[in-house]
Amino acid sequence: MSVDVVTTFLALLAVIGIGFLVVTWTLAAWARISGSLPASVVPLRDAFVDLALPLGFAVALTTTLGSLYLSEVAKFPPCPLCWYQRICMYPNVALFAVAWWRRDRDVRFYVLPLVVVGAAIATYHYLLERFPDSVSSVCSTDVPCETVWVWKFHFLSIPGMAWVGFLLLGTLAVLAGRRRDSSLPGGDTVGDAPVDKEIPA
Amino acid sequence: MTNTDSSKKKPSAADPYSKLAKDVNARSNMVPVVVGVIVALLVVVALIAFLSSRSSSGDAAEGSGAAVAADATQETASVQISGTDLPPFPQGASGLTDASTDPAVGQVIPKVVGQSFDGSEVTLDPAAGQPQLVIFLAHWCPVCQGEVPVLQDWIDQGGVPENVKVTAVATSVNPDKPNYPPSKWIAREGWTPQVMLDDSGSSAAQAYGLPGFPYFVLTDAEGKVVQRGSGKLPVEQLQAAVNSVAPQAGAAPSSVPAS
Repeated sequence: MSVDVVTTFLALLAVIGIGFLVVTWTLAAWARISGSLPASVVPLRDAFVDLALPLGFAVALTTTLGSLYLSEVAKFPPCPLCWYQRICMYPNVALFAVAWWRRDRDVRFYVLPLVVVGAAIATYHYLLERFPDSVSSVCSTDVPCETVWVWKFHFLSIPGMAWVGFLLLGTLAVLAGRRRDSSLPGGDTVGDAPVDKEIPA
Repeated sequence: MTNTDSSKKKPSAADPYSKLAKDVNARSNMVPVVVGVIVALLVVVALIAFLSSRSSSGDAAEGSGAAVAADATQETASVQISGTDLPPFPQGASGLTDASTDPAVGQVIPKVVGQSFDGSEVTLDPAAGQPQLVIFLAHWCPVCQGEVPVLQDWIDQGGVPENVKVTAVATSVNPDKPNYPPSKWIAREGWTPQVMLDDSGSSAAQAYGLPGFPYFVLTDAEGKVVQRGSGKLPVEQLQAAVNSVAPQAGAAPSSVPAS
């Protein structure tokens, strides 16, 4: 399996991720403005709320294994900014795995600080790749962060994909903490119990 | 398991909890659908990735007809270096150096005998009798990738006096890094000056005190360093630099006026 196949696969996943982010946040904005989601979307929303933790685990695992593939198999040396993003990305595998296992829907309190920092670094790294002149006008002899190792669909580089990954994890962590629609019966019946956010799958 | 534990800890919650579970089951009929769609998407994406890479590798083979790339038989070549190495480029210096900041100014450049992509001999000779501009380039460096077309435009517009000899040194070549091989890159950019290949250990670059990429060394007609520069340099600075060395070689014919 060639490096190109893997990077194309990861880039396509990132494109799907972008689609998911756009739809999710558009609907969230819609719900915030109009007060409620369209009724036809609610079951889908509930399905994603139920699946948020395993999905988050899958996304974190994919980004982690993808990044390890790029450095250990494809032999792209990680630059310092890559390492800072890895620091923010890898723990999410464990966080989502434990949260999934324990059905802890409050994982966002641990995930969001990591992904906000990670997304910020990924943004900077992506801009550095696009506009290397703006920050530095010379390539160092070791592993310059400006070097673009992967470039897919004219807009996705490795930090670009990492950025999508961070936003996906943040979104899924927030989704996991969403309570089911209280307008439906039974939604908030255990609202005062400490286990109210542990929804059995 | 967690469910059982919670129930043990808080038995009073068991009843509403199971009610909630039932309720969840009633409304979770989308979950298998979503999982199925995600799995299907993954399969499709994997297929697309596999098929697109096969077709794109075919495209690459078709597009490899550029003249110089076809002639390229090597991307690195051994270099014979004689003379004294230049001291390392002063740390923290930016733009072009001068005698006050750079100990290399006034020192004769080391002679390097090497080869180009097609095996023909290329020499960096301090005794060439004309001013020289030596430009070290790394194929994977985005600053170099941006600078090469700018330099080529400058050369095309006659910015470099004819008696100033320009040599590019393709150094730090690494097949695992982007934009490899450098021969294709150089061909694609229509680079006109001669190109010397550094060896796999970048010996020529080290002998010239290279700090980063791109890297410029400008000499006078006696092969002595006049200025060195690291990183992206504005064409105006380079123009002023080559103009400063061109008159010193006034004996040499100069038919192209500096623009």
